[in-house]
Order: sequence, then C-alpha cells, then structure tokens
Amino acid sequence: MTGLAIECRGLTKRYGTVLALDGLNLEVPRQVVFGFLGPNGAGKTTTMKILAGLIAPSAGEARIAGRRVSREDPAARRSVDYLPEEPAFYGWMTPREYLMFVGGLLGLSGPEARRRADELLELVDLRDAARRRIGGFSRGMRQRLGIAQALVGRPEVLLLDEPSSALDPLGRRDVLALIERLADETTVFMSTHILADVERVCQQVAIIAEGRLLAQAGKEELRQRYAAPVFEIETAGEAPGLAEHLRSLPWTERVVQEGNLLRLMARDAFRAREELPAILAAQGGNLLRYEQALPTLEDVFVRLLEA
Amino acid sequence: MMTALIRKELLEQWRTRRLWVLCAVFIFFGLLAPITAKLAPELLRWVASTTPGVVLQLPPPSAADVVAQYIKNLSQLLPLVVLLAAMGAVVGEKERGTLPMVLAKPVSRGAFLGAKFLGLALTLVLALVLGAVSAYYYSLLLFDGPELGGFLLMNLLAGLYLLVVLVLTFLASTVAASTVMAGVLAFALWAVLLILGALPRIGRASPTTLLNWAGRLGMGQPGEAEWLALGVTLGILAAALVGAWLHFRGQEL
Repeated sequence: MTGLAIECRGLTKRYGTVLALDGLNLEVPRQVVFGFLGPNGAGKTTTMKILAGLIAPSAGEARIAGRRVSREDPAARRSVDYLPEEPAFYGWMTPREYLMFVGGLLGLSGPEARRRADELLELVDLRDAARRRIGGFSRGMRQRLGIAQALVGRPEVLLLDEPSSALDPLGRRDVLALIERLADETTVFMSTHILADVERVCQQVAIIAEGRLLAQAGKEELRQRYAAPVFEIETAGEAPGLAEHLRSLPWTERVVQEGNLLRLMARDAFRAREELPAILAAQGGNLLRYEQALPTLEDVFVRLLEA
Repeated sequence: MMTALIRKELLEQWRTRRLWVLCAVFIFFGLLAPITAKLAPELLRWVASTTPGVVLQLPPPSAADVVAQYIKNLSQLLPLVVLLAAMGAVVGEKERGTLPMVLAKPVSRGAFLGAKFLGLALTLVLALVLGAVSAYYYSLLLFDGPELGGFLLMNLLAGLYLLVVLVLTFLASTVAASTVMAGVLAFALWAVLLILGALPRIGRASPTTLLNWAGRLGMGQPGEAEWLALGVTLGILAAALVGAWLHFRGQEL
C-alpha cells in the first residue's frame, strides 16, 4: 500500500472540447490539511468529483489510500468522503436523522449510528439544533452539518470543496476552526480560492491553473521558492504618483495598492533596499511605515499564475 | 445500506405528505366508483322528470357498473396522479443537489435507484389497496358485489398497469434534465402506450389490454386470458428498470 493519502497520475477530464483537467499529477501525504488552490475554472471541483467517484476521468487515474477510485466500485469510497461546495440535504430531515441515514449507508447498526450522530453533532456544535428541520438551517449550519456527514465513517481522506467560500465571517471562522481540529484524525484535502484560509489551516499546498499543477510544496517552501521580496509602504494620506513611480522602476515586479498601503514586489531585493529610502524620503511626514515584509501565499499565487 | 435507503424513501413519502395525498386520491376515486354507479341513474331520472315528454328507462344499477366506473378511473385519472407523484423521483434529487453526498458514500447507483423505485412502488401499492378496500366496502353497502376473487384479480392487473405508468415515469425521471421535462417525457411515453393499445392486433399485446381483462374479471366474466399483454407488461417493467439503471450508471453528477 502506498503511503500517500491521494495520488493522481495524468488525470485528464474533457467535457466536449473543454479540457477541464490536463494530465494532473498530485501527491498528498497522509495526516495533513492540504490546500488545493486555483482560480475559478482551474479544475479544482472536477478533481474533487473524480476523487469522490462522482465522475470518471477521461484519462489517467486517481488513488485514495492506495486504492484506485472508480465510479463503478463503491467499496473504493469507504476510505474517503466528500463535502461539495454547496451541500444540499433533505430539508424534511433533522440533522440527527441525516447523520443516522449516512450511518446506515455506511453499514453502522442503529445504536452505532445514533451514537456517532450525537458525537458529530457535538463536534460541529449542532447539538442544540438536533431536532430542528435542516430546511431552516443557515448556510454556516449546513456547512458544519456537511462536514459532520463526511466524518460519519471516519474516512482516511476528507475532500472539502470550497468549504468556507459562501460563508459569512463568523461561519467561516467556525468552519476553519473545525478543519483545524480534524487534522489529527484524517487527511483533509481542501479546495479553495481564499488564500487567507490556506494560510490559516493548511500545512501543504498545491496550486493549479487550467487543469495543470503549477506548484506543490509546504507553505514555507512555496514562499521561499516562488515569492518575490516584498516591501510594504504605508502613508498617512494619499501619496499622489507614488505607486506609478514605483511601478516604473526597473527592479519592480508589481505594486498593489490597498488604500494608503502599497505592497511592492521586487525583482531585485538589493536594489530595492538601496533605492527605496531615497524615494520615500520625498514623502516627508506623510510616510508612516516602510519595511521589508514576509511574502504571503497570495504573492506566490499571483506570481505563479502570472507566470 | 439498502435498508437505510428504503427507510429514507418511505420516510420521505410520509414527511413530504406524498403518501397521504396519493392514498387520499385513491380512496376518493375508490369511493367515487360505487357512489357514481348508484347516483348517476337516479340523477338522470330526475333530470328527465323535469323535462316534459321525456321518459327515461334505465336498467337498475349493479356491481358491474361499479367495476366499469372503477376501471375507468384507474385507466384515465389515476395514471396522471402516479405520473405527478413520481416524475421528480430521481431528477428532483439532481436538481436539489442532494445526490453527490449520498453517492460519494459506498453506495452503488443500482442500490440507490432500486430503493427509490421500491419506495414509490410500495407507496403505490398501499394507495391502491386502500382505494380498492374503499371501493369494495361501499359496493357492498350500496350493491351486492362485486365478487371478491374477481375484484382482487382485477386490482392485481390494474395495479400492474399503474406500475407500468410508474416505471415509465421513473425512467423519464432518470434520463430527463429537469422535473418538468421528466413529466413531459413520461406523459409522452404513456400516450404512446395508449395509442399502441388502441391499434388493432398490436393493441392486444399492450398493457392497456390488461385493463380490459381486469374489467372482465371484476364483472365475473373472465373471458380469454390476455397472457401476451401480461408478458409484454412484465417485459416493459424489466426493460424500463434496466434502462434507467444503465443510464444512471453512466451519469456524471
């Protein structure tokens, strides 16, 4: 048996003339929270659905816990479970009934399914809503119930497709806290385009675009390998022309402006450190802060995609 | 796993009130047959009596009229009710997005479809039994019959006919892209069945012929058995279920 949680080899998926996945190769180790990053339309959901056994690849293969995933082999899905981007439930059921239904699908006896349902309702903080109809749940509650239903069978691999993208800040915080807690029990393979979520909960990251893998490594390694040196410049008020001037410099790769904060990615860190103080001195009392900052995953992401 | 799926289907029929509605409709039409058979002649006589110069002579109503009315309801109105109740069975789950989380479990697509069809078929059987009991009880109150054995066989054959409508609707619900499309497709398939049933020679093999046989059995005049129609009916049931499974097996969700 392979030591990998997920293994994709040349995974390809065509929808007519559209190539959703283009020979994707991926290796996900066990017992990590793995961020699967990519812009919209990159092929994240297609990969997830193939891994969940919902669609078949046009070519290549995927293995979960060493076993080949197949739509025709239900037993292969014993070691994996899946939460779609917008989980939909039977609105007439209560969450306890739904979890017991899932327990029944996984072969648990009635008492076992009830016990597991109660454990999971506690874990996802839905015990107080156990007798309410799911139809009246908020998105955050549905998402937490979605994670609970995916955990009923204690899967070795948990596939979460954009688990926090549709949530409000509080719902997002709760779901991310839950994912962090799961890291000791299972391998979490989580697709997202929210980089802050990856920064917070993932240990390893893969970035894909147009169905192909661009990079895969630990978060720190990615930053070191792919991020350009970053300088942050904060001014008290508007600094007319400063961003444009910085963009025009030969050693500048990119300048991002958010209000009075400028983030400058430099092609040549040495020249930036040498020349920036003189440029910023012209700002006089308007300059609040200037520092070399740690590159973020967003810097890596944008740089890889632009490349 | 199969038990969990079937339990869910039956619970869904109960909670969404589909079971209640279907049973209520079948009971209503079951009661309507003997009542209509009893009251229709009296109503006609009364209308005739209010028109000067018109003398209406009608034979006294009998259990045979109940059977005729009952079969008419079973062949014309109740198939539409079955169609409406079943057209969203599979495609409705696709539209609501409830399928991926269920089929991501170690559940075979055949088991999922099988449980769904079984849930619908059990609901139909229960509704038919309640409707038949209502019709028979009121027939006994208002008339002397019909004869129990023939009435049971009649319902068995009529039930098979409704099962054909159910299985065609189920097939339509599996292949269609929306509930409305499934309804249209199921109606079209049923219409084809009716047209084929009306054709000479071919019609003899159609499931609609089962209703003629059922009517004769209910009236205590079995006549010639329609084994060919019965065989074709069972063949359609099997073929539609296999077709639904083959199509669903390859669907991408």
